[in-house]
Amino acid sequence: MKWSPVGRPNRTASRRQSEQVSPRNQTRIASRRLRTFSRAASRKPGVQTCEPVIQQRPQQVIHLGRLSPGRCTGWIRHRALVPNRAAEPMRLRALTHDSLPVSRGDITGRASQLSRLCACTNRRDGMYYACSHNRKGDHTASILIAFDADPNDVVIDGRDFLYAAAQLGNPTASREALGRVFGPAVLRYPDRCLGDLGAARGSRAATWRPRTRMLLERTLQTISSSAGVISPAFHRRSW
Amino acid sequence: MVRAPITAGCIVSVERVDCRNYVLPDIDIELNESLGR
Repeated sequence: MKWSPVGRPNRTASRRQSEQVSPRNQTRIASRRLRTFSRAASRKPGVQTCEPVIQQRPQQVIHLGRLSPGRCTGWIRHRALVPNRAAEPMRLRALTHDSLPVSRGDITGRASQLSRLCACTNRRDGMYYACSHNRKGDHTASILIAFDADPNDVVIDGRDFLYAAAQLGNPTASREALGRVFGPAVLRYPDRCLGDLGAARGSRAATWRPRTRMLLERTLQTISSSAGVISPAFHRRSW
Repeated sequence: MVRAPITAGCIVSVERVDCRNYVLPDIDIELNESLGR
């Protein structure tokens, strides 16, 4: 049988028709792509971490990369949670990419790999890491170090679900979603975020000083308002 | 996270923490409450 160009199927047209899928199906396709990427990254030999995957279309689906293989993370598919700030986690990762591993020589600046180190803003959180989280095996000497730091040198670690759900977007909008998923007990966190944000805007004392001590709770206000990274623009912002 | 290195002039205090009496902070969340019961 002779092949005729007239009878050739118009593959370009069919491809265009397949691309014109409904928004609901686009969401499914995007989710399937992200899940496929996550599985591929975790199965790849030698890969220790899965990079955060951010896809803004069609519904700003964000998959927060897990810190280690086998550890599950949550999916955020609520449009109100991440309004126009989906790139912030990637920016955070770019700032902290070379911050690992942390060794003893890092605090003195002898280590060449480190650019940032972890710190807390209040004594209670520091006590947790000194006495519980990092105290294991032979590491039993718990030492608490307080130091001053310039706010421009501080980056909030956003690898936390509540950080992404509340502070990254709109705390008011995320309150309902969080309560529906996790129950009323979790509502204290978005409420606290809203309270800190209101207090920061209403209080003159919330203005940043040139240097701040890393044991102040004032950094919580920064989490609520700057979505993770303390920038020079935020430093000059007047409340 | 803070940009390293932390210079000696910025360090305010260094103290050895006694962890024997340390207890995890109470998050005040009960199971029934978290499940909305």
